[in-house]
Amino acid sequence: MEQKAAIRGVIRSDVVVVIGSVFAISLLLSQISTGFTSAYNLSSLTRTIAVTALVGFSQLFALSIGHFNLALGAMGAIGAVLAAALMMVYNLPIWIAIVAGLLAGALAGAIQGWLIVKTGINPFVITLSLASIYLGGLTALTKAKFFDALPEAFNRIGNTNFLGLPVMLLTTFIIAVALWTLVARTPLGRQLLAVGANPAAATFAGIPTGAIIVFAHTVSGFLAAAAGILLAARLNVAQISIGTDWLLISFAAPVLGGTILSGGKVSVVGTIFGAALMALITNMLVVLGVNFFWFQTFLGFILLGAYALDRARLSYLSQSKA
Amino acid sequence: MGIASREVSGRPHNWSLRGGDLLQTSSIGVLVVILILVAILSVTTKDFLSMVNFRVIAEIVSTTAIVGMAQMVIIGLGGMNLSVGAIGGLAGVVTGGLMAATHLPSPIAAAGGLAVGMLCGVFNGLFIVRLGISGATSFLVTLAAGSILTGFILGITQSVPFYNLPDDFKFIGNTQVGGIPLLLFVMAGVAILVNFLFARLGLGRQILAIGGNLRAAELSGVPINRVVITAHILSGLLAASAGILLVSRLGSAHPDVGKDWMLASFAAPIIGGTRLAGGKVSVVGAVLGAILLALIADGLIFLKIDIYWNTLIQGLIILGAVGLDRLRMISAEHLERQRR
Repeated sequence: MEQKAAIRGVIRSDVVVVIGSVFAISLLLSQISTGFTSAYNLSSLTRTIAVTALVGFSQLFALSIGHFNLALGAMGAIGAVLAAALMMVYNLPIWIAIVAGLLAGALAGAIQGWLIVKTGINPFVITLSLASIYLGGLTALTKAKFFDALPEAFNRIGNTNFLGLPVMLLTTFIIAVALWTLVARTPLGRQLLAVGANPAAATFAGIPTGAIIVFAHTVSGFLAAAAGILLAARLNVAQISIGTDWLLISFAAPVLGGTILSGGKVSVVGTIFGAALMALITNMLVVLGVNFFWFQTFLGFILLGAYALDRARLSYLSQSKA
Repeated sequence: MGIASREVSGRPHNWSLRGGDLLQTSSIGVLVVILILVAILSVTTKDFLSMVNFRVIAEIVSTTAIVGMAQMVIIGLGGMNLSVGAIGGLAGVVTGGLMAATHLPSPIAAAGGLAVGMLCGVFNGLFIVRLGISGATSFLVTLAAGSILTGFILGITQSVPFYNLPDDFKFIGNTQVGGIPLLLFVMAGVAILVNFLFARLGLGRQILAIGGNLRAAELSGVPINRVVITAHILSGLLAASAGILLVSRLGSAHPDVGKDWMLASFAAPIIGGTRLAGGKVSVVGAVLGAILLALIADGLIFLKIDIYWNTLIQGLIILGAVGLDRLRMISAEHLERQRR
């Protein structure tokens, strides 16, 4: 019992650390910068958090079973470009286009999971190859076209508030609640984590490991498409490069939030705060007048620091178990 | 100790590259595909078999093959290096910057670029050793390093290329010896050295031992940390040479150098039979893999197919190559079982 309490304490504390950092930086920024609390900055910040968190969730589902998804940027592009093309070129109703985009992302993820299960090839190579297959195919089919004449009603998703909060952020919250319920409150969630912690043991325990792997990648693709579509609504344009920069943040958000990379432990709430922390740090760099060119360097150091924390946490957890 | 070393030496195929069989079965497969492609392209298109086109392909192959070797060293170790492109780009930019801004002689500038590449390798290696050697660690550390170094590239250049490079520097990338680009000879020299490392030197064997079975390598006395760091320094050095050679060929140190290397860096060695799980590499295979990649990109242009399809085809080829390797492994296991 005592061990369980200790482990729970650690798990809770890493969310506390990231939440604490988010509040500390927010407080600092509101003191040193007059622009930080402006409506414009806050709404821009929350929209960035909304997309980053979804990208983080997408990676989180691959991480939950101990895989990496290198193709999530391509899946996001598929979702965004398909939805945009359907509403712009084929004049389909917006919601049908969005659903089609989400389903395309889910299908791209399902194919990825299916290939991993059926071929037995190293998941890393599969997602690396699929990233270029998906993106290459999409580029060739669309001739790298920009879809920028999107319906006004679609763009409104990206720039409207509801009850004082951006619709984008609310969308991410709703998705987060659904994901949290799935992971923490359903047998399916427990099976995901069991496969992530030890696939062989999960198989022996009668868990349909293959189906779980396909499911995790399907959800990952769905979430990447959701992030792509929301970002397109915010930018009022969908193009193939929409997910190019997602790989780093997709790992940083969950790892900052206390997800352990080797699988078996994920944190949906932590990922939101991880996304918030990254958006805030970027905001801080802007306030401090750091040249935009160096942002990538800071992001890299954040990921490195987060991973070092992750490793420290893991060794602490294994010590407290022993 | 005795048991452990027997365990390693009991499976020599797992961790040693036999110097003799340079052309392994997978390499022969790639070679056949290359010959078929060349045959098809020379029959169906007019100018494919021209000196100019040969030069274009040879120049591209030279840098791609070295990039592939930079990745191959780390794959052999059982890891991956997502920062090869950023290291190559930074080395190219530093070399170009030293020449354009401080007018240092080009050999010193190039040495500076190579040193930067090795430093990046030290950084990667140290963090990986510190955070626990595993595939996930090398992935995350080099992903972060790639981003950090990309920031350096942009910060140093302010996103503007260095144009004023001395002629003696551009000479290396733009000279032919008997019609053959000098770059190709440089690449061949590098390939021979890397092959020598894996076929003859203790370090090469130790890298493959770690990639084949980390635990066994540790038990049989391989100095794990030192080998991992050295391998990353070597990978950084190779990536930096590729970046500097590319800058020499292009004639300007562009901040985009290395940006699109990631896929090819994995594709070239994997097509050539390097095992992704580690423990088995093939230098000849990596060079053949680079040739295949360059031929396909070139062939698409000659066949007037949208170059956009190139990315998709590269992805399919990696999947195909790994799939074939997997099939070969399954059938080998099957035979083994039947024999018992």
